[in-house]
Amino acid sequence: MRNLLSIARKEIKIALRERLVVSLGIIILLLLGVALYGGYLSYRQQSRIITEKQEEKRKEWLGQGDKHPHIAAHYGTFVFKPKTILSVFDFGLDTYTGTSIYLEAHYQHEFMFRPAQDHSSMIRFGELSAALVLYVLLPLLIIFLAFSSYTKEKETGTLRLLLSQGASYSSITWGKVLAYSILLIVILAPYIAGMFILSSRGLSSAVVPDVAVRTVLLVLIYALYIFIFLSLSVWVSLKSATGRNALLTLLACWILLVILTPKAVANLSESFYTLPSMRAFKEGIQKDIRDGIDGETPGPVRRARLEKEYLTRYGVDSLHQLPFNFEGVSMQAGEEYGNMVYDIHWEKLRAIFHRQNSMGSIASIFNPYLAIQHLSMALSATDLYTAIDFEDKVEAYRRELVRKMNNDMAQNSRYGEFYEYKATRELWDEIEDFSYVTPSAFEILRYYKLEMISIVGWTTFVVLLLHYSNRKSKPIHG
Amino acid sequence: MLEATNLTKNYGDFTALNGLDLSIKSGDIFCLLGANGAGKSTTINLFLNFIEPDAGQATINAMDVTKHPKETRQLLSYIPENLMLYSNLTGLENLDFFCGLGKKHYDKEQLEELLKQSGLQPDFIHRRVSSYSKGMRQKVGIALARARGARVLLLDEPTSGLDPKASNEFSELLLDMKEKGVATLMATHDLFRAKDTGTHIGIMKQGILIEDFKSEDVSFHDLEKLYLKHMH
Amino acid sequence: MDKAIKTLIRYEWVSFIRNRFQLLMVGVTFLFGIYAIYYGQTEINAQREVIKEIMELEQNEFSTYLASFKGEPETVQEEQNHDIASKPAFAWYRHGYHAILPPHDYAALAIGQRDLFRYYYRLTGMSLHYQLFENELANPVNLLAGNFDLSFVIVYLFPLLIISFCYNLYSGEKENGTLPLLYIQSISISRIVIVRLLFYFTLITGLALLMSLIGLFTSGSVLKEENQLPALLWILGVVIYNAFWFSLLFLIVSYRRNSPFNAITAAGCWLFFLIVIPSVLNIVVTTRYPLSSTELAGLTRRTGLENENDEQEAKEVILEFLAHKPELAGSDSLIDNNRLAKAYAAYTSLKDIESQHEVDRYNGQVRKRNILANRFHWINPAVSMQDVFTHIVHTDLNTFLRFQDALAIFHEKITDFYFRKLFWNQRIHREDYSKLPEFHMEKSIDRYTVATGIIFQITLLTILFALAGLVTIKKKSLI
Repeated sequence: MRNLLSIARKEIKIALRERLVVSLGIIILLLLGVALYGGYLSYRQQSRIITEKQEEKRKEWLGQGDKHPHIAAHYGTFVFKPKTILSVFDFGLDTYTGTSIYLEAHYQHEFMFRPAQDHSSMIRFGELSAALVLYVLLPLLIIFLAFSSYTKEKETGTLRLLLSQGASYSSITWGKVLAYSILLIVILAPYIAGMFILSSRGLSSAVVPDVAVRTVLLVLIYALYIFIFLSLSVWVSLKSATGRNALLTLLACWILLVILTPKAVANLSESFYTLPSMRAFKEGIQKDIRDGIDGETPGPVRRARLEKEYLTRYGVDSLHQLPFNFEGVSMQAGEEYGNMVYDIHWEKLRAIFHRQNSMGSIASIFNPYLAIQHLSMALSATDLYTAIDFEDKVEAYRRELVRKMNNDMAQNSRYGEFYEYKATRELWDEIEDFSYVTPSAFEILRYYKLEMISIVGWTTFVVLLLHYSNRKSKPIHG
Repeated sequence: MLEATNLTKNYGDFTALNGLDLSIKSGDIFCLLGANGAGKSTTINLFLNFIEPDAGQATINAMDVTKHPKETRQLLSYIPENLMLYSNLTGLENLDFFCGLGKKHYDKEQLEELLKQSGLQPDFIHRRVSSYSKGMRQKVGIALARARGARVLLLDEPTSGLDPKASNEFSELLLDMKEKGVATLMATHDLFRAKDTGTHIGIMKQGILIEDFKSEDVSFHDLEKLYLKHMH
Repeated sequence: MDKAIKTLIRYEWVSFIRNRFQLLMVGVTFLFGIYAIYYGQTEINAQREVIKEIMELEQNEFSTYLASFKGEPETVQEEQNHDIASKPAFAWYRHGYHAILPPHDYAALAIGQRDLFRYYYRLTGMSLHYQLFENELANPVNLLAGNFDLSFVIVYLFPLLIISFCYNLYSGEKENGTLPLLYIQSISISRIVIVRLLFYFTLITGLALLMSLIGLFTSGSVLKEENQLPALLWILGVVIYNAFWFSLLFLIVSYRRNSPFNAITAAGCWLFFLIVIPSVLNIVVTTRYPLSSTELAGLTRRTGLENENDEQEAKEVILEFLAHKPELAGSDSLIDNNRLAKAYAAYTSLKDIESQHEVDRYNGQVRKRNILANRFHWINPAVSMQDVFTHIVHTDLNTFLRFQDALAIFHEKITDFYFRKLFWNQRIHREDYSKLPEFHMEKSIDRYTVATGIIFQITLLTILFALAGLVTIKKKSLI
């Protein structure tokens, strides 16, 4: 233990004397600062605009004047995807998911406006977020810091000296890992502290109720991720004959893990499970609504059945005799049929998304970078499943809105009339404003089991690897 | 052939070489003795024009090495303490490569012959250098010197780390070159080799050549005594 | 050629052939390139498939209309079809036209923003903005990951190949101990370094060109006139981009530091050009010109007349619209025929006119962002190269902005066609179907000059680095 500590102390001293390492550390710190500042600016800008617009749309809805409920359902309203406070840390998919949706009767509109469309192709090079700095750039700093940790001792012969002094491989290795960990913790400490302070008070937001839990989990998984890279770097250095070899091996690994596989996996998943075009998707839905899901019960047939059902249920022989406006019932029935068809198609589409993403999840077992990327997005509430959850809740809201409009029409107007009935502000008030709350971190993490297994598995793996190599290494064989 | 006049080199405050005067003729083998840091390697590096002198000059064949780097380089060959070659090329290919960078042209047979003459076992000629011992690499170095038709040989502790047999073979090669009129400057710690192979011996201390005599003028025993005396 | 140079090249080749690691890297890069070409082509072919399907849908739609002119309608369905085909009051919002941005033959090599933007729209005479802002279906996770196309291989991976081959050109000799033997040769060390750099430049650029040629030949005929200039510029771009990285490596090597230092510096440069600078610029652009599409969202709302039974309201709307389009005005009596349809047509057109300036302002902001980003092209050859590629193969942002402009014009053509019939109370005849509005997009004139300009910038930077390297390598003392 004493050995271990004195080795760690020595490593820290040496690292601090390496100008390159120190300057890279400073650059990473600066980038982290810029990233967080930029993230915060755009969070503030976007959430201000979104809140304003959402209020504006709410006002429009409430102030739409007296009109027939079905016209109001068509007039509809808008929902905008809120920025989550943790998006300051990890933008995740925010640039690539649609941001606005128009809610109206009969039609499930899709989300419009992916922010990436407002950029040149430079956007595809990525955006600087704190997460990017931590999971892309920090591993490189670690590589530069640790690639020569063992090879230098070998090349200068100090390794034999150390061993002859009674230091064991295991104390040297863990001493080095400890030293670099301390350095990184010192570098990152202000940010970690800042995140905790921000998340524990002041900025806890209405959209993400469990910011504190998420922050703790984020710190935890990033700590593991950094530990994995650190241990691997030291291990490669232990196994390499020269610093050059160690550096090249590590850089090659970095490129493979961070640059190549993520793209390749995404593209392969795209090739294996192709998405339909929007036109074909919509056409499919329209067709099923038109001809019925079995292709044999078109709209008029369905309506006739419904008419018959109501006439027999109420024991009357004309729709005019019903105690409510059958048109409202029929519209709601049509709406529900449309919803059912939509759900079927939408589930198919989701299944494709899901299959595509599961390839990424499987790949993440071999690639901790993918694991951390997915987990980081999930915990920052900027991942696909949070986006899907948001879409589901928006759709549920839309259905509720349309249902209320149709019910009101059925209850308060007469069959055969349309413009004669006008609903008022009271009805509009009945529709609560849409407000989104993300699922809890643990609910979201259920989708990321493989990723969590990957991070824990890799951590165990590198510990065992180092442990095993420490025991097996002999100075003579390098 | 090799001449140094008032040759001086400073590294900051440290004087590596202080007003060296030296003259080596064709057929001479001049052995420089002295502790580490006495200025032996500095002298050789100055002749090689790897570093520039602060004062004085080094000439090869009466040409200042700093003013005629190309011409003087063509005259010399150099074997550092640990001569390294391209490990993924064979001995022959290494020789062919370095010869190819110079003016003279040799075909394959001639190069093989040169390697054999320099004492490289024939079955190693076509093996990659990564399997060579230090002695073998130095034989390739000598073959290179021959191929270049070098008139001057600059050697920086060439025999350190060689086993006695290899060391002896190397001396034989030097004597062979001497017969051909090559002027040799060799920095070494090996008193025995210096007495045995060298024609002249110089002892350096703190950048100054303090002794300079013909090797035939001293016995081995006296040489050792003299050397140790200066080292105190 | 000088004998010494010949020898250098010959043995560099021998070393290269015997270095299994280097061979492996070249092989792997080549395979990545082939995969990238294949992937790009499947993506673009899938888009072509979609376009084909859509065109079929459109043809079916219009052939139903045309068929309805033959003989008297017999069923209700046929009668309905004929109404839609011939009565402008139905036709103006029922007839759907597809505006398509077909992929350039070489779009497969640099997909650019093509996976992100829509490349087809179905337009009717209804409000343009109601139809304009729908997204294409896409998995955002994959959008974020980006495309593994040939431009990615060239822009990202080739610099790495160059770095791994050249970072130790000088330091490797020093560390292996072969440097002194090279020094005593009559050929100078700087020449040796330059010859070797040129050797690897030929080798690696040759590989890049080979892959590019495979890509160019398999993606479309290079002999086609519209493909010649793109193919040529592509090849020029590849050569210059590789040259840039070689000159950068030359500069790094010329400082004669040790191998790990060189490797770290070169990798650091790569990181700065390919990740740090663009990602920083992206957030600068985002925060400097904040854009919120929420402003446009409102335009997509389906709105209509407050009260369809209110004749006065309908009339006012029509008159307001006719003030904008006096050529459609006829006698007052004309208005009363099909009043409701006219009122709706007028209403959505007025809405478009009103909201057009908001769309223009928004697009102006996008253009401003683009201009700001472009201003930094000169410090970043990697991003500029990507830009060159996307320009060449028509997958750049500007192409899609221009597509949107062309859509607006097309929409106007469509409304002109139907509104003339509608407001003049004419029917649509069979002959009219040969004069239907057609989508047309102006060719961009400056696309290739922009690309050439950027290539020129990279060339300047290349020369600058090469000169700096030359000065440095000559200046330094020998050991």
